Parts: sequence; C-alpha cells; structure tokens
Amino acid sequence: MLHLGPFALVPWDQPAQLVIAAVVVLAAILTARARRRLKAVILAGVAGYGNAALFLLHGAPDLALTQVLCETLTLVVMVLVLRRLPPYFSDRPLAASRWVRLAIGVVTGLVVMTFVAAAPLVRVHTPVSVDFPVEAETFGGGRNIVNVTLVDIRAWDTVGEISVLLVAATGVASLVFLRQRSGDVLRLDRAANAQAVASGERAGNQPARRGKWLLAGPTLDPGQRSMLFEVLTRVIFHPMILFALFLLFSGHNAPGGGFAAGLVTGLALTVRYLAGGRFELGEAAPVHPGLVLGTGLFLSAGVGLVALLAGQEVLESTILDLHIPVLGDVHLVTSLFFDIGVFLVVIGLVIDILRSFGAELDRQAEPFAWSIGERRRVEVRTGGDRA
Amino acid sequence: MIVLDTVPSGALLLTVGVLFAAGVYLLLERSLTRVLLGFVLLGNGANLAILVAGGRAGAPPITGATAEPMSDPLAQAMVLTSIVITLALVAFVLAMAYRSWQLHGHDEVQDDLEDTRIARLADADAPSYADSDAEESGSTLDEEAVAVRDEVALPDRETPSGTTRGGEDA
Repeated sequence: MLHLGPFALVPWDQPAQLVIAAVVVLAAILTARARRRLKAVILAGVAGYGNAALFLLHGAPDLALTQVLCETLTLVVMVLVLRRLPPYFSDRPLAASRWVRLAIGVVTGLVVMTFVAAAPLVRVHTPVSVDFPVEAETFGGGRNIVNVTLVDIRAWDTVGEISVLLVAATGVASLVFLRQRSGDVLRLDRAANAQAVASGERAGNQPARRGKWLLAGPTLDPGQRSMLFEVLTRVIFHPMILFALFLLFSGHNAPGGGFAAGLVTGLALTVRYLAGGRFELGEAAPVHPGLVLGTGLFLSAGVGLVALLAGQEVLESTILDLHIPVLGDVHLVTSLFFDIGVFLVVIGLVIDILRSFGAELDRQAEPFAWSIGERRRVEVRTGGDRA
Repeated sequence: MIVLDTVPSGALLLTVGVLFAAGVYLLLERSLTRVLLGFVLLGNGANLAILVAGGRAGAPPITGATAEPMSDPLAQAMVLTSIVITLALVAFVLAMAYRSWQLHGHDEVQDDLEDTRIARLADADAPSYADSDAEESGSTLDEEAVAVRDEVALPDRETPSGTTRGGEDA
C-alpha cells in the first residue's frame, strides 16, 4: 500500500485489473483522437466492454452483464444512425482551441482522480448498505442484494429511472417520426399488398408462410440477404427469449433481473430486424412500443400502489410461500411484478429505438420503394445507380 | 458481510481520470456525435468512480454464495440504474444528431444567437426589451446572424473540406 500525504493507494485489486485498465485507457485516448465516426464509435465500445470486465473483477456480475448488453445495443444503434451520417467528422480549423479543450479535459480528469482518491478515505459513518444483506433476505425475500435493492429497498429510484426511459423513447420516436408518436406496425400483409400492387398482381396472392427461415426474408432485396444470418437468427431467437425469461425470474437470487432480461429480449429483436429488415421487426413485435412502455410503467407503479391498499408502504413487497400441486413450493415475492414492469419498459425502449433508427430510417432512405418489385422499377428507371 | 476497507485501487483511479479527461475533451466539441461519445466515456468514468467510492473489490453481493466479504451493493444498484439511463440518452442524442443532419446536412452544434445577445445585454446591464416608443438601438437579430462566428463550412457557402474527405472513403 502506498501512502502519499493524506492519500493511501493500492496499485491494483487484482493484477488483471491493471491489464484491463490499460486497455480502457488506450481505447479512451484513441476515441478522442479518432477522425472517423465508425472508428470512434467502436473504440468507445471497446472502452465500454473494458468497463464491464472491470465491473466483473470488482465483484459486480449484475453490472457486468448489464454493461455488456447495453454496450452491444449502443453499438448497433450507433451504427444504424451512422450509416446515414458522413463517414468523417467535419474538418475544421480548430488547432488553437483544441489545446485549450485538451487542457480543460486533463485538468478535469486530475480533479476527479483526486476526488475519487480522497472520497473513500474520509468516510466517517458506517455505510447504509451494511444492513442490506439481512434486509434483502428478511424483507425483500431475495439473495441477490443488488436486484432486491433495485426492486424493493430503493424502488423509487427505479420508478424514476423507468420514467426517464419512457420519456427518452418518446423523444427518440418523435424526433425521427416527426408527425406521429410512431409509425404503423409493419406487418407482412402490408408488404405483400404493396408488392402485389407494384408488380400488377392481385392483392392477397401471398407467398406461403412455410418453408422459409424468416417470415419477412423475401421482402428484402435479394442482394442484401444473408442466408446464413437468417438461419442463425431462426435458431437463436427463441433460446434468447427463453434466456431472457430465465434472467427475469432468477434475478431475485442470482445475477439478472428486469433490466438484463429486457435488454436480452431487445437484442433478440435487434437480431431479427438486422437479419430480416423492418417487416421482420413488425412480425417479431407486432405492437406499438408506446403500449409496451405504458403497460410497463403502469405495472411497476401499480404494484407499488396495490401495496398501499393492503395497508403497507408504497412499493413494499410481500413474500408469499405457496404450495402449488404440480410445481411444488413456490417462493413468490410481489416485487417480481415490479421487475416485470421494468422488463416491459426496457423492451418498449428497444422496440422504439429499432423502429425509429432502423425501420423508419430505412424507409426514409428509399422514399419511392415500398417493396422489392417497386424498388426494382425505380432502379431500372434511374439506371440502377442508387446506393 | 460487506468489505469496509475503502483504500482505492490505483489502476481504477487512473482509468477514471483518463475516461473523464477524454470525455470532457470530446464534450467540448461541436459535432454532436463526438459530444455523445464524450458523454459515453464520461458516464463510464463516473460509473467506475461510484464503484470505487463504494469500497474495495469483493465477492459478488449475493448472500449465501460465499463466506468472503462482498463489495458494496448500494453503489452497484446506483451504477446499474445509470448504465441503462446512459443507453436511453445515447439514443436520444443520436436522434438529435440525425435530425440535425436531416435539416442542415451536418450534426454540428451552432452558436446560440439569442444566448450571445442576452450575454451582451447583461454585460452592458441593459434592459432585455424596449417598448415601442423607444428608439431602436443596435443591430437586428438578422444582422447579428451574419456577423456571428459560424465555424461550420456550409455546402452552399464555400468549398466544404468535409466533402472531399468523405470522397476519399468512397
């Protein structure tokens, strides 16, 4: 242990921490230097994954899981938007002000470092969390203290957070859709009708639903389809949903919970969208995201108010130990319903993001083409030079 | 049982410092995409800082898993909230960047004319509005818009250097 005046420092908690810290530091510096958007985004992603590894080494598996899922989703979302933005950041003559900004950055970094070095050492009170392990088991009915903290001990924080998610999702949708909360749910029969009209066929002459890996695969331009990706998507989609449900229900006692489960479901939907296009997303999640978001918030807040009817505090949870004939002993804590609300809000957020940055941007990029037939006609007309 | 030893780890401290420095450097840019990346890095740094403030590394905070002392669950719950909110914020700022690209052909933040004007009035200690009888003084907002320093090379104003850079890539 090093002592520097009032500060004390250990070089690292585990040697591996030093290696990952070096990777994160390098990635952060390169992100700041990058002139290409994609390069910058991927380097920031590396820093994020590195952070997840640091969380894991610190003894925070819940955080590492959530960080990895969020980082993956962030990368996908950023790339979805980046395909429309220019590849390079605009070139600007800012040589002088760059050094000023660098100086401000370095000074901020140093101040924060000093603060973080000093803050843990000047603690005078016992942390409030020393009683959390006992409280989590007695009142929260769960062994994963982080999850019980989220859904029970500090549930108000989570209510606030999912409200923020709802507002952000609405903001994203309204900035991209402009005139409405969100567009129509893109089901296959709409694509089929448009295609039939475009190619002069009778509507209702739908392709057979059997014998395809993905339902909406044929709506894509054949040049953009990847058979391998479609097969893989078909194989992994359902296991991913199942894994999400497992995380949701086991979250009370093991790493997982509503956030992680919602993000895994969101990633499963992302894979469907990436493999099969916007109609595949409509088939995979044939609901308006606003409905999912609203139901989630209603469920979470509603469970909190039901506790009030039962004469308890708002958001207080009840532990029910039931014996159900076939299932056996069931240990049900009412905060599970709160977590299901969180799960739904996260799914709603991801659907909103995918519909805005994915489906709607696709549509805006091809203003005249509604389906394959129509797009081919446009290509013939313009000499096929459209990107 | 929770670890009460709070001596911070140097490796984590350095990471927090660099993430904050790189994050603030990018935040002070004009391009919204870089501002966003700066925020992501800053957020990562802040998450680590909260975790360090919670104490040393320990076992996962799951009761009954091991007998070893565990890391602070409160700090972890707070960071978990912040990770998911960062995701929502990323999406929102990206939507703004995209909208800006749709409207202006770039995603750079412009000078806020009204803000400059108010700052100048505040400096001069002048009233923010005058009634209709008073004499019009100074320049109109349109005249100021022409004079204001706009660092973005718009495509219709002069040869944009950004377009040629983009062309290299194609």
